[in-house]
Amino acid sequence: MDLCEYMDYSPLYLSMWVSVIATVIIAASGTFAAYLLARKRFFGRNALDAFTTLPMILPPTVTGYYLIILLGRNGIIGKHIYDLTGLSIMFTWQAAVIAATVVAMPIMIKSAKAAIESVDREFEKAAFTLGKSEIETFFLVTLPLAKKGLMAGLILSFARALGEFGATIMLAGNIPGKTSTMPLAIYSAVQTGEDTLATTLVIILTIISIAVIYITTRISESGRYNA
Amino acid sequence: MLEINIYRKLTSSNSNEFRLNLDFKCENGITVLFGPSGAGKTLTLDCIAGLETPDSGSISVNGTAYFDSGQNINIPPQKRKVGYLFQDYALFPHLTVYENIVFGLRSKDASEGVDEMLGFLEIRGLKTRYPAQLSGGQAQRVALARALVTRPKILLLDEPFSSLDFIVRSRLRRDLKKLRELIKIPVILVTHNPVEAYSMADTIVVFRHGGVGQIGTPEEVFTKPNSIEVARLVGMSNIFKGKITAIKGDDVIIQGYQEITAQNPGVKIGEEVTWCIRPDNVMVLRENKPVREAVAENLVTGHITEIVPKGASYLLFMGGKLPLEIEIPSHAFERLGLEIGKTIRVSLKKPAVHIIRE
Repeated sequence: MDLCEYMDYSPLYLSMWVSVIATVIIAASGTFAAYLLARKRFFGRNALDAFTTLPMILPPTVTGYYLIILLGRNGIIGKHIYDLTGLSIMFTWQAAVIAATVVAMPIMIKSAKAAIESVDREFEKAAFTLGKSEIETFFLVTLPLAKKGLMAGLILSFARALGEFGATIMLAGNIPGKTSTMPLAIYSAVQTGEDTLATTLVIILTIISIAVIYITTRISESGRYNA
Repeated sequence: MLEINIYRKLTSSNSNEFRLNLDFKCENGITVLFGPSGAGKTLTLDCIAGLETPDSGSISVNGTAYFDSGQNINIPPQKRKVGYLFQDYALFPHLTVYENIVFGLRSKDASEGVDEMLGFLEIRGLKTRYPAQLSGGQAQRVALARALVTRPKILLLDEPFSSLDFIVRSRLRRDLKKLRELIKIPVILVTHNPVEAYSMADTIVVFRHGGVGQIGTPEEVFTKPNSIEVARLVGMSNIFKGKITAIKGDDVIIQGYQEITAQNPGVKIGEEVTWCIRPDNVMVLRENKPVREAVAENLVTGHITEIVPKGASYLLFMGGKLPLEIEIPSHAFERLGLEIGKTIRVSLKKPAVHIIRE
């Protein structure tokens, strides 16, 4: 019996696609937010810190519910999008990306903040006196020195995005081939008794998780600059 | 020339308040900011570099205003052209020596001076190494090269010798002295070590509690401190109270533990003063020899209570009516055959006795 002939691989591709895009968004905005939290003193800093941590604490279905209030057809932002374009983000693959991004973002912000804080400010001061602007200093000094922590944070965020279930099913639903990512597909497969499919997807996710643990450990053990 | 006149208040969470209140000028050459840790020396460097902003005042280098609260001028650190050697050098660990040195250079043609600088500081062979592969002395020369290739208007050195071993230290001292001839910019050096302050400085600015205690040449500051606190900082450990009892021509007689003659700094009879003498200015006289006229001033007798070897010299503690700390060269120590308990006679030469009026 050839498994591949009738097995639907769309959950795997969809999950990868959704997680990769979420991770790209997280890499840019999470690092930026972490830099602000680590280096700047501004009004509402603690509030921002708490707010960005919240999705890590809240049950994902609760986060998903808030996202519906925000982005649903009658939602605070979603209403305007619908009025303008006649489209709603609900039950699209983009909704899955948003759910994954919001839920996985706090992990990145936490690790990136710690990584940036661990970079000695003297290096940044030295770069300033050598004529480099704050942005140049960030890319030439802070980023390379915080690289390890940032990479670890990104990989963990990717893993979290890949496993996202609760917020995704609230916001994007579970439409086969469209929004049914791997965790949702496993759920459906178990519900409908498709044990082979469930097992295959479970094995794939397990392998990816083990790989993530291996890679993050390797990253944190490589100490090139601390000789 | 650096002109600085700033005020900065720091309040930390544990309700300690620190005020930096400075007003001094320094010419080209090496100016040493000398004082105990926590006196605001590094904060001053950070203010000059633009990394910290004073609450009020002004800072200018060669007539260019870096900061002026009255005129709302605050040039960002990037535009100040300050060469800053940080205490731990702050070499970028992810860049090679060469990449570190050219970090501050904008264009290719500006890198002409780099090779010359590498040659002068003898670090040509280190170009491809990473900072973690450098010794302390090498790291410092690399950091110095990095600070100098941008052709700064002023050079700031924060405790440049503190983490170096003895041999490397004296070599760097010579390098810096040589450098001063080469680059005609003001060099501001921070240290808490009196020996470094004395040997490096053209001008010493003594810091106390965030303010300037005294400014002068090393000789002035080390032999004629203007306060007891400065006297202690510069190692003038023999400090006594006394009262002026007589004035004889250019000299005065101080009555304290015993009668002391000193040069008159302009005191009046009956004035309460503090007088002091450096341990290395106390002269131990040879036994059983008639005292020559020239050293027959202020003879004090006592016995040795403690001997501390310091390498090239010995520190003696003399007990008696006037307890003194004495530093004598090792050869003199050996020739005199000194030991604990031995009674000695010393001379406090008149010009070496310094009177502090506070």
